[in-house]
Amino acid sequence: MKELQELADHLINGYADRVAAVTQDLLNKGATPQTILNDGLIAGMTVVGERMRTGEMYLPEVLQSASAMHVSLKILKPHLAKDGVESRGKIMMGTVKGDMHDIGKNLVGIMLEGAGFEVIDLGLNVQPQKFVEAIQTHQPAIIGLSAMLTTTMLNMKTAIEAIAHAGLRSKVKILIGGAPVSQKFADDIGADAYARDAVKAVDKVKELIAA
Amino acid sequence: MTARKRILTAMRRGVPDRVPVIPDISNMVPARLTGKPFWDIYLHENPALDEAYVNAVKYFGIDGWYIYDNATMYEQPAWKQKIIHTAKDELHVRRWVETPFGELEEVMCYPVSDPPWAMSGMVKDIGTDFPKLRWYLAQKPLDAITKNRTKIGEQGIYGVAIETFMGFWVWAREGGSMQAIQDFFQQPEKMPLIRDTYLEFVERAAKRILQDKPDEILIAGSSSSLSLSSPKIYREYDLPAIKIISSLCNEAGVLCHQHTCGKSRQIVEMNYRETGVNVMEPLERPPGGDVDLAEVKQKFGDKFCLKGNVNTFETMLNGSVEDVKREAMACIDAAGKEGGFILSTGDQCGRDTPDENLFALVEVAKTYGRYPMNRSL
Repeated sequence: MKELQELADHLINGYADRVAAVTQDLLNKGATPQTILNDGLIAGMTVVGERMRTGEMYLPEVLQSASAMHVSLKILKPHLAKDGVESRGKIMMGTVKGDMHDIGKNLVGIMLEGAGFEVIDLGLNVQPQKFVEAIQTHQPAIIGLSAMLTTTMLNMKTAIEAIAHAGLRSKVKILIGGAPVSQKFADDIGADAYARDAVKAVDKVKELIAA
Repeated sequence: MTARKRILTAMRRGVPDRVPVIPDISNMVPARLTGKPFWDIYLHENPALDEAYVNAVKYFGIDGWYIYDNATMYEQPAWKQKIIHTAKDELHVRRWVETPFGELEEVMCYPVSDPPWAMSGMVKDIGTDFPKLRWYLAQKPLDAITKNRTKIGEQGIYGVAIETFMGFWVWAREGGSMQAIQDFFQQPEKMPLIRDTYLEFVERAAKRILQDKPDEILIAGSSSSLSLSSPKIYREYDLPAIKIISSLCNEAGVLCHQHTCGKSRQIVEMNYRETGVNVMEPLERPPGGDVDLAEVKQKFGDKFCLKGNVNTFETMLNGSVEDVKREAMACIDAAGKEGGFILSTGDQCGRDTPDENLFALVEVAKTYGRYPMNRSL
């Protein structure tokens, strides 16, 4: 379908208005929301992810594509629900205590939504206890912890300890990401996985859900 | 050779007695060494961060790099401030300045063991708040910027910092880097005016600073990193100010030094071709950056003194003394053989960087980094 390729192209270029218009147009013409999501949005974001990986696209452009996707998903969500399309899983995310950086976390969140996951964003500077309470309330399958600083990355460990102390560790998988962290750090603090960028984060979440 | 002379020789691409060693501990490590709550340093200035840094220079035996006078940031006493919230692990401080267009204000959080961060930026709404900031920049007194020029003495060099446009906008903008980036796309018609306002300020500030002949002007460009920004934004918004500053520095015979961490390979090349910048740092390698030190030395070493790039996370923070020594020697091998090189870290060292790792870096510079280097590489 030509319009699906158009949708993907507008998404890659970060044209939110055009993405919204084509999404609505496709719905009006009878395309299923699942088709629009898979063959338009996810197809487009896959290209964005690949171009980011190869250095053809940079964070500002990727953010525009992600924002455009967010606009389209808002239009699609009621239709997906009406069609009984179920979420692939509930993911909770937050930047840990003391850290005010959220670009990476936001990008991962939008890309996860685009991949069909339900995302609960706890925001910035999230205290360990808030993670615990949110797990009890929302019962996510996975928690994503983000940190950008060498000082705040240590608060990932504190958050994981608080979750374990509350007896919830076996109920959630924990994924970490951010500039200073690594697979070794993830292993050291007892996280289940580490992702070095947004594209990898989506892959890791799929792996963790499938495991 | 004094530390100052050693650094200046390397920055002018000469060969000093040994490779200068300037790990980037300009922020958290000196604060940690005081043993005090960080708000004592960053808010109450007891001691001030620059004083803590000079003490750290002596403690580690490094070559000093004093960069605590900043042209862009606010300065007392024009700004008033008040502690509005006190808790055991953080203080919140409202800071404001009166303008004809109303108060320009920000709220900062001062954690007990981390550097401060902005809870609320100055420009909440560009239409309402940017006129206040523009007025402030136009009025900002510049005569006192170089007031601390004698504090480092011969233990190091004295630099004055000017932010890149992105650094300025991320600092000023409510929502920080996320909103600052979105502004280029959501309010594209307003951004050229904001840039041009900043350019006017930069030119005025650089001219005034250069009258006082610091050793260098530091272009503070962390937020211009291609990990955050893009080559297009860098070219349209950052490069114009860098061209002005570096050109004025070149005319005045003062070194122009740029810091841009994270991904910066393309920035090194753009600066090489289009600016008068003399020193590039910190040339961060993967995974945080994208610079191959040997490659940039080979391609751009005829213009730049290079400063870098022992990894701060894998090596300085989490590595062993042997890891530090190994990577430091590799850096010297890659870029130090014929001078024009300063051994440093790939970015700011984290607060908990082990002292022994910093001592190891210094030891490598003082032994393996001694000139002449006759070993075959």
